[in-house]
Amino acid sequence: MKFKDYYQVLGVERGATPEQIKKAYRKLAHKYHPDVSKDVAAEERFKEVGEAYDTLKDPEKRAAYDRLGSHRAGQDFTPPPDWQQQFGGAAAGFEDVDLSDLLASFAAGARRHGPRSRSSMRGQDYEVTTQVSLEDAYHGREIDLELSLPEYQENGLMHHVPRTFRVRVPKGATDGQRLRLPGKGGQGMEGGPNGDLYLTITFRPHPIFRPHGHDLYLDLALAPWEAVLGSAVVIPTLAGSVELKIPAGTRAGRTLRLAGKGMPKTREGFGDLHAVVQIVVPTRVGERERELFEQLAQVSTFNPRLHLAEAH
Amino acid sequence: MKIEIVEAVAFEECGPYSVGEVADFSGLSKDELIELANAGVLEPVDVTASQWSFSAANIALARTGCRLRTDFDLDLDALTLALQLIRQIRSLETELQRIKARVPGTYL
Repeated sequence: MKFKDYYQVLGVERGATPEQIKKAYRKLAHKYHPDVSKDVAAEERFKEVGEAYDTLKDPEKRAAYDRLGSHRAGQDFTPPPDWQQQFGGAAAGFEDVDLSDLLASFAAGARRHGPRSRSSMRGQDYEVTTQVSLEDAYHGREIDLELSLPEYQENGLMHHVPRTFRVRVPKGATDGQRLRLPGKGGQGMEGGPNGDLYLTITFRPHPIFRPHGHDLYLDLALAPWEAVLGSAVVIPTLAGSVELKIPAGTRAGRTLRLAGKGMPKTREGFGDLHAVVQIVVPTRVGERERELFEQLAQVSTFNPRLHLAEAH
Repeated sequence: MKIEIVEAVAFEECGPYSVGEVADFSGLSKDELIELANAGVLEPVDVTASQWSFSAANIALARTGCRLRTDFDLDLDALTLALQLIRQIRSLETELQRIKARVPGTYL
């Protein structure tokens, strides 16, 4: 089992008072709480901080932890035999146990043998986030969700076990949509039901489409002459390519809407696909092209900055 | 490895949920939920109904509230303020996503 230095995680001395521990936790929680910070690394850090506080705020758990002695963080160690006798109950099987799981088992054991031992308890709900592609959501594909979830074993110790759930992404799921996997959360105790697993779906950035709700946006690059004269261009959609007519005199920034070519909606219909026009120019031109542009510059009366001139 | 095939429930599409159900799903008490609804943080489907019910979006917010209350030891006033600010942030994030989707060459 790897040692975790919970005092170090919270940045307090081993002899810190409960008030000092609480203060240190609050300070770190304000910084790393997942509802406050969007940083993925912050979420991991908050888990560590929460785990440390969960142990050190509880006098019994803290005493049990302190009796393990002081080791280097990450160092392999085995709880001393008298500790196992007093807190663990199991003589073997500590090698692949996580320290927080061990202390959680100890707390659960205390609850089991405490005054409320006969009351059943619903298992904990877990929340996870997974990224899927737009195509997964468009077609309603199945994805495999690989998780490491805590489970109580026969000896009463808690272990993290790998589990794989195959889940269908609902057709028309949107970014941030939540799915509930009933009964796939933490184990219930004393006959209580299992908790649920909540899965939040987020979209992997797509190289072409940007989603908003059921609508999709894409950048439509046009050559100046295509925008001036109008044309027909082939553009991709999630259902295959389509031809889009570009009206003559299309300006940069204009959005051309392709009705029903966005993401499917849950009950019926589809969102729209919006093509946002960009006028792009060639960075290198041949001799003939340059001549033609020069001719155009001479004959054209178009002044793109007329509104600036009129303002004065 | 064994693959468990799970029928997932699209949470946002279910409901509406009674106050008791929201309490079960979120971990907040019925009294706390009613206080939050009175403060305008949670929005009943029909505020004039004799028995309030809530959409799934309210459950998500209530779950966040339960987490914050537990992790920061918040009283109801502080929780109300925190959830009001979170609602504002989420609404601004949605608006920002809509604007970013329209801006050429930007990906979220």
